[in-house]
Amino acid sequence: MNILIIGGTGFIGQRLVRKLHASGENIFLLVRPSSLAKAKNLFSNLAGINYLRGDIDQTDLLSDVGQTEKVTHQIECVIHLAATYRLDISPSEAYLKNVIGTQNVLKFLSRLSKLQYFHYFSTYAVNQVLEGSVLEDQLISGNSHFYDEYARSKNHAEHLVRKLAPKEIKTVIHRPGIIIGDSSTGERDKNDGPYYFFDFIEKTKKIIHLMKRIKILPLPVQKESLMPVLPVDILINWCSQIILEPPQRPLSCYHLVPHNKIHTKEFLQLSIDLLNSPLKIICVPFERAFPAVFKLLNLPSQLVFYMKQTATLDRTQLNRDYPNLIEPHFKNFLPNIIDAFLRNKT
Amino acid sequence: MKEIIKINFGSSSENFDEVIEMNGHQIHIRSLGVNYNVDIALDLIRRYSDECDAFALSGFILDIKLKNETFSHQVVKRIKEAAQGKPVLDGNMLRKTAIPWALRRYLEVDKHFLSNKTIAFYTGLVQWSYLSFFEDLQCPMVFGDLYFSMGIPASIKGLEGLETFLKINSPFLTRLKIDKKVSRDFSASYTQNKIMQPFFDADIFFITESQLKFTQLNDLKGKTVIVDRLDKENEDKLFNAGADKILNLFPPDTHQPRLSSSVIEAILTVTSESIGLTEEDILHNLQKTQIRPQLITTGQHHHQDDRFAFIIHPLAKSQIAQIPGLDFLKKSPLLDFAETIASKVPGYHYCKISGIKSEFSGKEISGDLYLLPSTPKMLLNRPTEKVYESLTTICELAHKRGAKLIGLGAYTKIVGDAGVTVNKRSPIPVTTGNSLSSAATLWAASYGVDKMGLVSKNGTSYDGTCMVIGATGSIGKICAKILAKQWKKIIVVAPRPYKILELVEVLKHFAPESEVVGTTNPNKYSSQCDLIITSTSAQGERVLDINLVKPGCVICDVSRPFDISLDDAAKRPDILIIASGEVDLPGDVKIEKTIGLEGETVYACLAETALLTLEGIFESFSISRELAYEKVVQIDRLSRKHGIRLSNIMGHTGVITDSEIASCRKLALKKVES
Repeated sequence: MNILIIGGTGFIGQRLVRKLHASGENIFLLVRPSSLAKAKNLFSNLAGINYLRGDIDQTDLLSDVGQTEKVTHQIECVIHLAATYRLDISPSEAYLKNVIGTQNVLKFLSRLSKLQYFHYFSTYAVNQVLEGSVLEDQLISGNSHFYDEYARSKNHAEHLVRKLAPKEIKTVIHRPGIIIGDSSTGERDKNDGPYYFFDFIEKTKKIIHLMKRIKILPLPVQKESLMPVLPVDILINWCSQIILEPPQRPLSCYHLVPHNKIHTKEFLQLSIDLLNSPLKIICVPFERAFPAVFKLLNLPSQLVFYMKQTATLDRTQLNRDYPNLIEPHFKNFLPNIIDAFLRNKT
Repeated sequence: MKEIIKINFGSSSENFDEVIEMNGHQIHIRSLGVNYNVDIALDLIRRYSDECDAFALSGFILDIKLKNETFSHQVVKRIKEAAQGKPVLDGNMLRKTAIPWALRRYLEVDKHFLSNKTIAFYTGLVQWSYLSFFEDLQCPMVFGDLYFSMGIPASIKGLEGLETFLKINSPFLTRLKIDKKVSRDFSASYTQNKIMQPFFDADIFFITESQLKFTQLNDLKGKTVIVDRLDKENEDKLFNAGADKILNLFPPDTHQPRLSSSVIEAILTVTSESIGLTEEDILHNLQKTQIRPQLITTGQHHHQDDRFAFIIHPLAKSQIAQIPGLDFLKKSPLLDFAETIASKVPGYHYCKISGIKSEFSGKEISGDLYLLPSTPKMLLNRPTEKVYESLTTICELAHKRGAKLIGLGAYTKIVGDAGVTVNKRSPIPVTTGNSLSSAATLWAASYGVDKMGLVSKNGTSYDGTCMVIGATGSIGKICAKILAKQWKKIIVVAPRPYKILELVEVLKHFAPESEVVGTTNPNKYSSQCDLIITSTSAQGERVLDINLVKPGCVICDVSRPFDISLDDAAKRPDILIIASGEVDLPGDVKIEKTIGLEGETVYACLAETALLTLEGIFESFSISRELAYEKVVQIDRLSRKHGIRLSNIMGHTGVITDSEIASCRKLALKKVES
């Protein structure tokens, strides 16, 4: 299959490129002209990758007119995972990159004559719903309350995908959970999500004598809070299965999160133990305390949602369409993640 | 190619990116919604000021010009700066001419449309460009501006009043925050006062498309509403508020793309040879367009609704006497005779069920109930072909009344091949509602187990043992699959060993965490089970020795006739025996006549028909005796989505109350102790 990947140099993207390349797919990569050299270097050991210069910021994705003809008659599948991801992103930046970028990609799809599949990478956070259960075909209104601008922009972008993706092709929306490093090597790119927390625990070690006395860590976590953490290699394994054997409905949407629920408290406690800290988490259920405690701990305030959310993410469609996915257990992969984290520190 | 960027202050989910051809020019229009965030709007204008030829604003206006007062919001200056000299259009120049012209066109056919009518404007300031037209016609005007922009529930009378309002408040209005998603509720109780009353008393209400999106309407019963444009969502909103008629000034034209006034202005600007847009350009353009305002009345609207139909019938001959007009039969010896006669009567429209409203999408639907006056005895004894004929006739009737789906209630789905033949002959799809019936029964089972509170729960999974008797049958298999995912241990029972072996293998693969045991003898394990589902075709023969069952067990008897006899049930008051689950429909549901259940409670199979209509699935979803696991899971998901919930659990003899469950639990605990 001729696959065009947009956002192939990112954390998830580069792993997906390698995986699909290894399965013998013909890969086209859309790369900003400024990062072409970087991309070629990154995939120097992969033969036969077609690099296309272009930018999703531009209405016309492909800046190199010479390539256009070739591309529009070959591409059968487009995977769009380019997005700006930072919790403290400004509303305008999030909008320009994630919403307009996606709108430009959608426009571009209509020019591809052989296109059959469009895979769009969203996030489970598009529904920042705290309680109950979130269905795969559910998408809350763009004017709901969001804890961070990234989630809001991804919500708006997914609304657009659902509305504007060409009706004659099959569209698949992937909604990954919180993606962390590799489950066996722990390898990762940057610190976010749970890594903020690891950093914090490491810092407390400087005052280890005091900590040994205190022994408790009051955290504004709710007992039932859930954390859909997924190692990147598992995500790639699942996504590649979905991409190589795509569902045949006009629109499918999957929550790519672990089947077995991970309780935030349990997960964080195990991280603390693995980091050899004597602290025991106690849950502080005071809603009002959240922002203040976060400030005190030097954690981004946008993490509040991730500490508070108890909603379960429905996986009915995924389970039905792909019943044989490998399921990780956090007790097995967390030690490797923490090991790698400590190795990188030193 | 000319580039136009439309900045829509409303939702980004209406974004589009299209190339159109107009006046011989190729024009690329991109609409970007900023969700009322002015900073994003300004950033976008800055970002695109080099690339595009003009900006069109939607949901925001630049200058307000009344007779003696001019006004502009402080953001306007920043917008013009950000645009760096590129034209920014808000559509008012076009509206100023087009709206009065469209109204004039309509007045030609309906001369007295505006005579002696008071006209209310939700925000006179936003609608300033065409107010003078109404003044020329000497229509009394009243404005909701005080409430709309400042939250003060008072109306303003006349154009002079509006000018005074603007004069006094302009320092405040220029700084009014736009970021705040203003959503004024004109139906709120605190607006119901004497000063606001003249506004509500108006005969005609004028609201623009974009205001309508974020305004909660007052009661519009008997009122006429004028709108500049109308989509389906807004049409529903207006009619739901009770509006009698809507005058849509610019209905969609198949010859022209649907463009907002500001975009048309922008197109005229970029294609015009003169510098800047002039009234001359607009006049020239309007001369080429055809404007045909359209009046929509309530009757036309309801015709387009999604409707469903459902067939009910009396469950006992005593219910025949409940049919209106036949109550004299109640104690009459003629009742048996009446039962036979009634079964020869063709089905007829019984009553309407309305107000079913999805909690997810807000879509509201209604349905018709058709009564086939045959008792179960008559249905099963009459020749099957005759029953098919009666049912098909009702389906045709329902189709004529606009139903898109029909459901078979109670015994009408048991007759013959369970709907297959009726579905073939019916002009609309037929469903039996069995998928939701099964789902509701399982809800009832978990509700029973939870209420009894004797099984510990780990998250959503039960730390106990359950049993399915008749597990290789259609319903049994589905129950087994669903329960295997929820329970620690499951025992499956069926008469044929080879079928059990096959099922055990399937279940082990399907739910690897659960312990699966297969047997042909339920009595061997019944003493350890916390939940037993029986779904057999034993035709009333005893399948289970009730004396061996664990105290506090919940038995869900899905078989008809029942597997657990009334005598058996009476022997063990410490066991909870459930026959089925009934459900509540979402919304303010009204059923015109009684169907034998209380309040909004309806049969699960009726609920399935309504649910499919809410979701827009018009297909024979559940048909024949075979059920599909996927469909039960899907219906379960849809129920949660649209807000269908369990209302009652039913035993052999009627609703099981919470106090009955409590006493059952008490007895069970006592028995365990002894």
